[in-house]
Amino acid sequence: MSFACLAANAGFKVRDASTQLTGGVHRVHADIAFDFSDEALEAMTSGVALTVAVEMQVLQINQVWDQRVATVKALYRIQSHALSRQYVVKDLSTGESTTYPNFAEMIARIGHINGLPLLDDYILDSSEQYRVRLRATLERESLPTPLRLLAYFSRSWRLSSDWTTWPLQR
Amino acid sequence: MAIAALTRLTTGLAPILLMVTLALVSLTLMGEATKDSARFGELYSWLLAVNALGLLILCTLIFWNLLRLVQQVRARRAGARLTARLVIVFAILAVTPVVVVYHFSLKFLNEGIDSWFDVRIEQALEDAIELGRTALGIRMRENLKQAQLLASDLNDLAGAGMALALDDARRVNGASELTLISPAGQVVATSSEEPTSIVPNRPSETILMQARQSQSYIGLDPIAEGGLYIRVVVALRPEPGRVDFNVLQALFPVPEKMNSLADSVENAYATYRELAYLRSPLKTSFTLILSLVLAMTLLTALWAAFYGARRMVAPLRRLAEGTRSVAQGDLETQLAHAGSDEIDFLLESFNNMTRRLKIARDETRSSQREVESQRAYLEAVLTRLSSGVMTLDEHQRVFTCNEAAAQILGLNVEAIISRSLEELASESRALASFANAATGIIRNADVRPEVVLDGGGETRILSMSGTPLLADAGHVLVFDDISALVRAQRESAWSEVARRLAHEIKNPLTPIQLSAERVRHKYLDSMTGKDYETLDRLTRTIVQQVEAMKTMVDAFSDYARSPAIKPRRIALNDLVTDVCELYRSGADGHRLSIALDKELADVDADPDQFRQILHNLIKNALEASTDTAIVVITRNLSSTSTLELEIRDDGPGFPESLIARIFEPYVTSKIKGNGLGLAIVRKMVEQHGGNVLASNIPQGGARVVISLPASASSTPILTNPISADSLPMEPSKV
Repeated sequence: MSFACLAANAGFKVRDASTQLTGGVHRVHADIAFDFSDEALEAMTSGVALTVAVEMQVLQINQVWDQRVATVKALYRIQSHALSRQYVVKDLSTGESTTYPNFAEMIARIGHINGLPLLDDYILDSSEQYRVRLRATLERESLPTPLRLLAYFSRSWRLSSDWTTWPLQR
Repeated sequence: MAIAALTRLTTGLAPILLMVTLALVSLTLMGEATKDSARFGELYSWLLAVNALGLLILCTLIFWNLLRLVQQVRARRAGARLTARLVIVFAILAVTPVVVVYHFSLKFLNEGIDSWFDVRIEQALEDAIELGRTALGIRMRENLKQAQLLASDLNDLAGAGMALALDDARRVNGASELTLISPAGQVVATSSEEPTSIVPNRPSETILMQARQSQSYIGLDPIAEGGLYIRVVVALRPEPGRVDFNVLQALFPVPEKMNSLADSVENAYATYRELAYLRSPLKTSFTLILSLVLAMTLLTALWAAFYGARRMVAPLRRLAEGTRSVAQGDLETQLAHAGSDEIDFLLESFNNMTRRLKIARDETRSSQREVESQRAYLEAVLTRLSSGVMTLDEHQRVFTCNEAAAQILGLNVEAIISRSLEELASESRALASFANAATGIIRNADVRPEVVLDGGGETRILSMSGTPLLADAGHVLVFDDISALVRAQRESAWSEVARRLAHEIKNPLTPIQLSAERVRHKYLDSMTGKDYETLDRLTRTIVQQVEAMKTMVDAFSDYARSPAIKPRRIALNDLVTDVCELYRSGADGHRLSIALDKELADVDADPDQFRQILHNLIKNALEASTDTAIVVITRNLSSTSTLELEIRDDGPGFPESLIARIFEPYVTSKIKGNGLGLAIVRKMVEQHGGNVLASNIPQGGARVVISLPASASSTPILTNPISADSLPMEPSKV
């Protein structure tokens, strides 16, 4: 297994994100770089399943604060398969599993979101302005219980990107 | 209000029990969560937060209690120190075993978790995985050969026949899916044993790339719900004139038995590896839970220590406060108690004690008031009593005495109290006589002596009696000044003697005188020579002696007569001036001088009698010596209620042997005196309510002091008290 793609400073980063209205449905296209910490990688190679969440929110722009209209959370559980020496990614939304022969391909695949349905356009008020924001996080609550406490107090496990925001194109 | 509510919250049992119960439940759930139970695993973080919050609240409550206790100790509140001691003892008793158990539990926990892991088991699992790979590797190589043969067969096919060929080949080779993929990555044809499967399971780009580079790829794919599959990707021969080529992917199912075994080995291996990785976090979690339990136990024990100590000390504190109240005199204190244990018995005993003390105090106060009342009554009686009353303790020291006693003894009350009879006896001769008589009474209570106190120019006669007090607590002496009574008796006797003397002697004197004068008149002229001289001398002597006797009898008569006084307000200074003027013109006038107080108060007195008093005293002084200087002095005493008239000379003074009885009749130091002058003076002064004292002056000379009450009337005084009919009387001979 190779982790050559890992940067020195672990963390998730949204490199690019946009939405596209196709067939009355707003779809998300994003390019996310998942840079896991050594501790997280060690846990995964030791058989611990990690859950990565890509959280997207549509917000109606208001003067005081923005009102949340829709939230979509794509959850991917990644773990290694010792017998086959493969990495298995399970989309927890659809239940579909995909295997990858190496780690780099796996994180490149889950970091590439192509046309993920966000919401139907008819839900939105045409007179209002909306914005979309997206971030990727490591779900600490999905870690095994003994590891959870450590994950709360360790920076190595605090893996999350900032919110990336852009206006919703109509 | 807020502090009171907080105090109730922090000192009450129910809220704390509730909180401790909740904390224990959450600790139990957290322990369950550590077992990775799905149900509680989700709540693990919340449970941790709730427990931490519970601990924080407990810490706050204990800190609050500790703060209050420190403040109470500093304020020296009753029971605070005892509470602190009990808290310390309880805390030590609770903390020590808990800490020991914690230490060993931690040790057992770490050792227990470590014992789960064994190198041999780990190696066995590694070997099992490797064995699985080896077993599957044989089958994978067989499947690769099959796929390569199939690919060579498919090289010659094209078009619509490809799909049928794939389907036949899949059936023949036992593959679950065969898919032909173009160089562009598009699915050219596919065949699957699942008729519902429309989209084939595509290999990843990496696999395709590897297959294109090395002509083949083989691998195990754990496909969800489907178990393990052997994925083989082989490259077909390129079409003529082209460099790119199609690839064939074949998915071969792993036999069910092998699949099941491989899955079991994989799960066991994965679980063990995960567990091995989580060994350290697991220890941390268990240690954390154990620490939380320890902290909860310790804090609960501390809280229980506070609560128990407060509960135990509360009645004792009430008892201490009650005792302090009783010490400060508040006997109304009653302590509340509800139980029936020893402390409640103590409180009930305290209440009984205060009730009885209150009753006793009320009775004592009542008795005290009664005693005070009786004492005041007795004091009032004794103060107004003319008799002197004196109590002596067992050491013959004066314990109490009334004003009359002090007055009779001529001392102040303060000068008598606490002094022994011996000390009093050393004061003067008179007090020595008194002390002797008192000693005699103490020895024999039946004795009722009459004691003569001789001294100070005045002789007092006391009638004394006494009786021992109860329980040998001393003696009480009662004595009366009977001097006036005795004097009155004597004067009465003297008056009777004088009256009889005047009556019996004066009557024959006149015939004697007349007879002598007749003998003289009848026979003197008839005689000559010696007879004449003899008769003349004898008759003259008879007449002269009879005259002398008449004078003496008149004096007795005057003394016995005691005419009623006619007092009126007079200025004593004027009277003194008038009388002295009579003597100034005489041969001895130069010896007489006056020193009068210009502010002298008036007196209510009979001026005639006072003239006689002055004549008697001045004449006495003139006759006492031929060359003495006589001074008549008047003065007010400290207040205007009493004034004094003093006649003093610088002569030889009164003989010491007579001074005590100088005012008694027939007591005189003069050869020719009849001893009635001073007796008449005293009689007249006493008739005016006054007092007369005779004494010698230490520097030489004698003095007579008359004390008279000043006039209480405010009517204008007489400017000249001498009336026409009150001519100066002949001074009596002393």
